[in-house]
Amino acid sequence: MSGFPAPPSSAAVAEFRDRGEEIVSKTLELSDFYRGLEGEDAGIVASKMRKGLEMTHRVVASVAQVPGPALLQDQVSWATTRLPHEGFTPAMVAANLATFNDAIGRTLTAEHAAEIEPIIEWLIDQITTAPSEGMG
Amino acid sequence: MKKSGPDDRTFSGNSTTVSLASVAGEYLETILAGDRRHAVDLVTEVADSGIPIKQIYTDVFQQCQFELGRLWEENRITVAKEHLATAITQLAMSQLYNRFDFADRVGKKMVAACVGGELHEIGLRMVADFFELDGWNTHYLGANTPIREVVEMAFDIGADIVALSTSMTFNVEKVRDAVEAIRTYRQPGGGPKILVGGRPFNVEPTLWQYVGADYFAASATGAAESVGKLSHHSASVEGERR
Repeated sequence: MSGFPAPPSSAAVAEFRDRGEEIVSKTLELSDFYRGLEGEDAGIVASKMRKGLEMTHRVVASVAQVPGPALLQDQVSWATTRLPHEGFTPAMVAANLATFNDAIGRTLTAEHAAEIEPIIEWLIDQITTAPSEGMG
Repeated sequence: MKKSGPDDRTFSGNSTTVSLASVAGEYLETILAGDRRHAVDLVTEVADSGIPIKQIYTDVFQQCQFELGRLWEENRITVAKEHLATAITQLAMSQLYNRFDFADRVGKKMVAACVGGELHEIGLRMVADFFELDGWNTHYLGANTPIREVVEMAFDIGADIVALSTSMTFNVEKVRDAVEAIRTYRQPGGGPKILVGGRPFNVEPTLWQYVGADYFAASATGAAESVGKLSHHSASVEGERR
């Protein structure tokens, strides 16, 4: 995917906004990101993931209808610059976003999911192709 | 950011070529070191030399806040250091208040607030201080203020402007909710004008229109200038009505 997706409808954004908690919980349920970890470590990673997913949900709900990619591009920069210092590489973030998108598809109506999913796909594409400056 | 040297501390309010870059460099080192007393001494000394307060805000405080954000994002300073440095700057701003050279009162009121859990308040405080310097009566509510409280205060005091700020993109939605709440409270179509600002609005310059605001400013200076035009316009409109 290369082009920035068209803004979703207000109805799609409203459903996405209202069902954020379900989407985040479903993402955590589907994720195998911390399956190999046990006890406290698993709890810490799950907590960080939930916080990150909640933030991601709020960002997308906030700006999904804003024309132009600047704000989401800024989030990509955040993901590739800051998140590695929180223990999440761009590859991990992209994998979590893919699971998040899966959860969107399983939670929203098919019509609304089809409008939101391209935004997440665009984010994944940008994160996986972004230069890794600032990491380490 | 430029490092300070022994000869860089000379500054003059009368000089048109004065640069506060070296002061900013020294100030940044000072606040990161947690030296409150020296930080306050440094900026009060600059203010007492005749440098306008607004220039100290933009060239020292604002530049240092940008730099703190960058250092934190790159993991070069901790959250604790960032909070320490920001708290010192808030103290320094307070210390400068009694040096403000206020303009005559213009009979205008502002309510300024961060909504929706937004904790990054220092930029908005700069905006409020700039308006105060320009003769406005500002009601600065600070971080994480409930939307309803902002709206009620704005209407209770008869605010001319409500200034809303967010640094976090995920709070844009809350700013939009606040704008809508102001627009629909008591007198739909009337009420105060709305000014928005903060990082997301700088990143996407059309965002202010998306949230339904009347004005956007990329900086405290820009905010005062753009609303200053309103002030003059309103004054002339009121004059015509009389």
